Amino acid sequence: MSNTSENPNPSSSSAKITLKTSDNELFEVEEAVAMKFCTVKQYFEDEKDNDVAARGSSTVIPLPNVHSAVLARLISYCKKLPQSNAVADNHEEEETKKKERKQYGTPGDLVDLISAANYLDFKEGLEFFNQALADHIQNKSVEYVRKFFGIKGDFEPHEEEKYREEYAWAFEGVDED
Amino acid sequence: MDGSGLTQQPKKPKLNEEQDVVDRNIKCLHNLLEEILRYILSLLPTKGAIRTSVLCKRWEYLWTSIPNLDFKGSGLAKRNQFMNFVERVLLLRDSSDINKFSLSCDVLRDASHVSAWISAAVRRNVQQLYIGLYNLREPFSLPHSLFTCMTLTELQLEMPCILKLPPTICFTNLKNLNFSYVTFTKEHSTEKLFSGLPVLEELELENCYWVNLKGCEYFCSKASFNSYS
Repeated sequence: MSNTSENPNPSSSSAKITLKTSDNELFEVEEAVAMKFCTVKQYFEDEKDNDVAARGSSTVIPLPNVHSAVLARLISYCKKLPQSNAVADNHEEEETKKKERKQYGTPGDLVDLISAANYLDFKEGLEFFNQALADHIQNKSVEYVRKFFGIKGDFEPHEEEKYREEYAWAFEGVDED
Repeated sequence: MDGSGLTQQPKKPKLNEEQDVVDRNIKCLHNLLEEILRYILSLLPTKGAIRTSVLCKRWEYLWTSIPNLDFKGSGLAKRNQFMNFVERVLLLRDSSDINKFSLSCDVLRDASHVSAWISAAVRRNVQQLYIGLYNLREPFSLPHSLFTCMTLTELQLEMPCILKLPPTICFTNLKNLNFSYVTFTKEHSTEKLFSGLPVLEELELENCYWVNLKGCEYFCSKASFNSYS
């Protein structure tokens, strides 16, 4: 599978930075986008200090923990950042944002995106994808969350029952599975 | 990291099949650091965060450091469940700071409990406090510690009763203050309240009552003031 088609289209004249993913794909990204990833920024600045990167865009920054498919999605998310990060101040806006977050796929996809955002120290992304994952848990029953995330309950039945009694209030009013 | 599934069409998860998806989720969830799981929990409503303690043993105590707490009672029905829930959560929570604390419930004859819950939030250096107290059966006093809370930046208080104020009032960091349905009676202490707000930026008074007050002066260079009745 190739992700080259998802690579950002070099449309402006701003400086480009090349990122190399774990599966050896090269991504040429605008500096402004790449600098949102603090890990990249740090690497880039260190290189600059060492005077290695005087050649600018020809520097390749390796990201051994990020797969190309994940990076492509993070970059496309980055490009829509302004509206994604606006604070929702009413119910309608919150619903729109929820829908937007839903587009990022299964919990497995989200976990990959979260791990990558964390590795890249990409704060807005981490918050957004964590919220997307939280949306899958919010108002759901324990059974639903377990199945959805493939978590195996390891409490003894009586232990679990005790928890459910002690926190009975928390188990009120959850959505239908 | 395995990203091979990312170009698939997003599927609606079917709960009884797609074992591969489930397997991948297990693997991936185990990859997430505890710190991230805590972050995700912090984004959930309190009830949802507490429910995760039953998921499995790894999640059992993860919720105890959530920084935001919201408790909303629902009248008389299941009153005991609600009371027990709030007490347990506040008792078992770890000693980390509380950022946002929302409490909305009937007080009835449980004034001392409710006051203690608010004290607990103040002791954990609460920054944003939203309190809505209804059905007060007896004169109610907010904990005195609230009125000298140094960390508080935002306070919303909806309380259809007389606001009893302590002798010392100083909100050193309070920027937003909102009172609804509150009755102010004593001139001296009310004036003290409104002069104990050195960095206030916004003051809102909605449907508040002023009894036996001839006038109340409030000095502030920065604040914007809104009053509705």
